Amino acid sequence: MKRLLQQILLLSLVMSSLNNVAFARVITTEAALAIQQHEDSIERVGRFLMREDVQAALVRMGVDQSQAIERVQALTPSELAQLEQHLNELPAGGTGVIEVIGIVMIVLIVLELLGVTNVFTRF
Amino acid sequence: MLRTSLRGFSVLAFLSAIGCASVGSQQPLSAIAIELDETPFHPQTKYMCGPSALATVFHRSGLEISSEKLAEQVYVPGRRGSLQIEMVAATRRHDRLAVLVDGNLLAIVDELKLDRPVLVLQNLGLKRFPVWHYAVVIGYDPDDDSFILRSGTTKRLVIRRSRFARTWARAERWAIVVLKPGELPQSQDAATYVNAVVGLESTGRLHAAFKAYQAGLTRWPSNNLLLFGYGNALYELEEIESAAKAYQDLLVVSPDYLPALNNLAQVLGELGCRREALALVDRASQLGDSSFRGILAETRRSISSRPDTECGVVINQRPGPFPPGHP
Repeated sequence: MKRLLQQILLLSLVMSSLNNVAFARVITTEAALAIQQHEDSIERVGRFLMREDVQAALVRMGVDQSQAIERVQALTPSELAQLEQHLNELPAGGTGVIEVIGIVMIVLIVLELLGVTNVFTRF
Repeated sequence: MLRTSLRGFSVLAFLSAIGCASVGSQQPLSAIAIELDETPFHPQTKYMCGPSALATVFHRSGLEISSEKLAEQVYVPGRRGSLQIEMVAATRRHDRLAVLVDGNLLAIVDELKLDRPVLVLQNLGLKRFPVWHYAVVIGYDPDDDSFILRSGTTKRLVIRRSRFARTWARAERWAIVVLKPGELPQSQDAATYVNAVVGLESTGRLHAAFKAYQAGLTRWPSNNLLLFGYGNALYELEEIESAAKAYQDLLVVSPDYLPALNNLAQVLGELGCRREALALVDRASQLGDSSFRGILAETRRSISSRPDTECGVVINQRPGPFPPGHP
């Protein structure tokens, strides 16, 4: 399984470098748009690293490895940049009631953790 | 003293005037009732309002995909929800465009009138303790000034306009429609449409992007980015000569558009028109714009390295923009 994943990774690396060769001297629409919106255009090398970062972050958050690979492929460079920086803060649409319970749970967990640290410092 | 109290009074009067305006005297958003009742219902399980809402709007664009399948494409277990960015990305994976709807209620109703359900993000909680929720607006009833939603586990949720407006405003009025390539949004804002199409192109959905550029040009025939993207999509689809024509058309509209000068030069170089290509690079360099300096130098190198052949392409400048044809 691990070997297969490595092969998929290697393949995607090769594919993306092929892309580089093919379109290196053409200005992409994405880059022209970025300039128009006064954003820094994102270098391809940077894009590759970001893609790996976001993919790893998604996997850490419980997304299946092979699905995470497909998911980051569907992201534009500016979306990758946003996710890389704000994956933890961006709104994540879940649901009403259960989410509220979730917030209460988090508060409880935090309180519990505080309790644990107290226990540790006491001994 | 008197002045202060007068000022206080006028502020009060002003506030109460605003208060009056917002109580019950709003104009309805539409004279007729609209309800897209053929919109399917995908009741959500647990935290899955994102995939459910997507499956619901996909139906209108001709896609039947289960919310379970879509969960694999958008749900983030660690966040117990789905991110807007990934909701948009998932539509691209199915060759569809997610176009942002303008941030006002009327814009939502306008899309409904075109038979398009609108996917919205709401914050059902407070600003400080947000509870993010995706739902699909399928109707509006002017009689009791309410929206009709497919939401969560409720097939037909009727929600007062003011209440909906508050929950939507707390989510920065985010709303999208999902379009088939070739369809145009109700919004007249070229930039939001272009953004969506560029997303398709840059993630490799070239045929879909090409169709969407073509459709966009029927409404915004002289938009630089649409013309440029149209040329780029053709280039990436290996329709080199058609791409060259598209860049030329753009240069008729905007003679100093550097990305088009560079790409046309590159394409002409590939077509064996070395002299013409180098002239374009010179023209681009003279603009003194530093944003694409590296790429321009690279283009010049690549053209110079080609053998000097006879240029087989007829390079004629057409008189003004014309509706784009097929490649």
